[in-house]
Amino acid sequence: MNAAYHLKDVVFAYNREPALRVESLVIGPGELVALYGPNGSGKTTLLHMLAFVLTPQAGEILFFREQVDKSNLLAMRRRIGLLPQNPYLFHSSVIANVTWALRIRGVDRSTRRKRALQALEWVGLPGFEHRHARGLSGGETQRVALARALALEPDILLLDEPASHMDRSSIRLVEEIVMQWNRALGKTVVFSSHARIQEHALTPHRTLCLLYGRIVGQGSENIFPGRISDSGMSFETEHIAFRLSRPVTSGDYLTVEPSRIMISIDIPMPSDMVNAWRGRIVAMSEAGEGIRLDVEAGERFSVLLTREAYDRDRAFLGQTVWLRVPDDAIEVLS
Amino acid sequence: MSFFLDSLLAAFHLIVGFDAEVYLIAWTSLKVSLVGASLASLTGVPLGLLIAFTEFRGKRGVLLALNTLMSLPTVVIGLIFYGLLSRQGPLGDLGLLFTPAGVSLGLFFLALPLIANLTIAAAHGLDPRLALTCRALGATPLQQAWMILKEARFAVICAIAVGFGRVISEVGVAMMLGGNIRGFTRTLTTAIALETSKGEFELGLALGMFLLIVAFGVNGLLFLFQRAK
Repeated sequence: MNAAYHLKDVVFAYNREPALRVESLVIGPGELVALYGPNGSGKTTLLHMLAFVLTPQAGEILFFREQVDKSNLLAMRRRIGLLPQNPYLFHSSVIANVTWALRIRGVDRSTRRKRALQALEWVGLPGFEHRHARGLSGGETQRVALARALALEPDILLLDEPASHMDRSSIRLVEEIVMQWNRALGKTVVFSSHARIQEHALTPHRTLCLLYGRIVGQGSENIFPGRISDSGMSFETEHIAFRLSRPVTSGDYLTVEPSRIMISIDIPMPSDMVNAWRGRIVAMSEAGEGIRLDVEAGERFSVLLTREAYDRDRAFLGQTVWLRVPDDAIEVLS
Repeated sequence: MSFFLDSLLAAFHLIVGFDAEVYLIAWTSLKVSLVGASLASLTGVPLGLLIAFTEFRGKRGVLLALNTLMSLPTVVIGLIFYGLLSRQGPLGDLGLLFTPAGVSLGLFFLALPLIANLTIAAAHGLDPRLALTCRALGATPLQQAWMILKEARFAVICAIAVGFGRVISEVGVAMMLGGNIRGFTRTLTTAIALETSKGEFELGLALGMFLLIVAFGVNGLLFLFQRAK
C-alpha cells in the first residue's frame, strides 16, 4: 500500500514524560484527516512528528513507503507544508516571509515572486506583499503563514488548529483552500482542532480522536469530560450522569459510539430507563450512507442512523425524542 | 575651574588643529581595537550561537567559564599574553610582543567572552518558535543559523558594540603587550595615562575627547547599520 504516512509503535516524550504513543497509524495519499482532542492531548506533537520537526524516541515512520532517517530527513521535510497553531513570521516584509523557504530551496527570483503572490492571493491577502509582517493582525499572520506553506506546493499540508486566531470569514476562506487543495489537487491534508469537527465546514474522510497522547477512536463525536462517582458505578458529566455496567476506578472522559445510540418517540419502558434521556433534534445531516442527528439531551449527542431507521422513525428537526445508550456503547477513558 | 577650562580649550585646539601626534595615536587605537573587536565578533558570534543551540556535556561549565572571563581584569589578560608572547614564552618566536598585532591579539581575547556571552543571551531571548519555523520550512542547519542571526541582529550588533567599547577603552592589555611605544603602539588610553602622569593634562584631555569621538563614531556606524537592516 502506498500510504503517505505509516507510523509504527511511535513514542515521543518531553523530558521523559510521554506525550504521544501511536501503535499504528496509516494516512493514505489524498486523504483529508482531522485530529480531534482537547488541549494537551498530543495533536500538535503528532503534527510536528508528521512534519518531521520532532523525531520520535522509538518506533518508525514510513513516508510514501520510505523509512525516514537522518539521511533523508531534510528532503522529506521539504515535501511538507506546516501551518503551526501560533505561527512565527520573520522580522521582514510579507513577501520576504513567503519567499524565504523557496529561496533556500534554490528557486529562482521570478518564480519565487510569482508563487508567493499567487499564494497571497489564495489566502485573500493580495497587495499585502510589502507590508511588514510584524504589523499584521493575528488572523493575517496566520494567513501569511498559510501562504508561506502553500507557496512551497507541498505534497502534504499539515494545519494545527487553523481556525484558532481567525474570524469567521477567514476560517471559511481557509476551509475552502483546504478543500480545494485536497479535492482538486489530491493532496493529503491533516488538520487538528479542539472544537467538534462538525463545527467546521470541512468534511474529513476520517477523524482521529486523541486523548492523553493516544488515538482513542476514529471519530470526534460524543466525547464527554467528567468524573467517576458512586463508587465507580457512575460517570458524571457537567449536565448528566451515565450509569456504568461495571465499576471503574478512574476516568476523565466517556465516549459513546454514535451508531449504537437508539432513539424513539415513545417513552421507554421503566426497565429501559437506565442511560435514557429526553432530548430535542437540533441538527440533521447526511453522513456517508446514513443520517447524522444532533440531539440536545443535557449533553449534545451525535446519533448515527441508517437510512432504513431514519425512514422508519421519520425524525424531523425540532422533534422531541428519547435517547437510549446501551451499556456496550459506553467507554470510559483515563 | 579655570585650569580645567583652559585645558579643555587647549585640547580642543589640538583636535581642530589636526595635531599629528594626537591623530596618529587615535589611528593606532582605532586600528588595534577594530582588528581585535572584528576578530572577536567573527569568532564570538558563531561560537555563541553554537553554544546556545547545541546541547553537550559540560555546557554549564562553558557558560560559567565565559561568565568568569567577562570579568577578568585587563591587566591579567595582558600578563598572560605577555608571558606567552615574550621571548622566553611559547609564542615568543612570532615576535608579536610590543607590536600592534600583539595588542590586537590580547584585545581579541578580551572581547571574545563578552561577545560570545552576549550572543548566547541574545539567542536565548529569541522566540522559541523561530527555530521550529526554520526547520519546518526545510532550512539546513547553516540556513537556520543565518536566519537566527538575522532575527537576533539588534542584540548581536549591541554585543559587538559592547565588545568594541570594551577594547577601545581598556588600558592594561595595550600597555603590557604594546609597551606604549611612541608612533607605533601608543594608543589613546596608554597615551592618556602617560601624558597625565607627565603633567600634560591638555594632551591627556584632548586624547580623552578623541576617545569619546571615536567610540561615538563607531557606535554610530553600528547603529546606522542596525537601522538600515
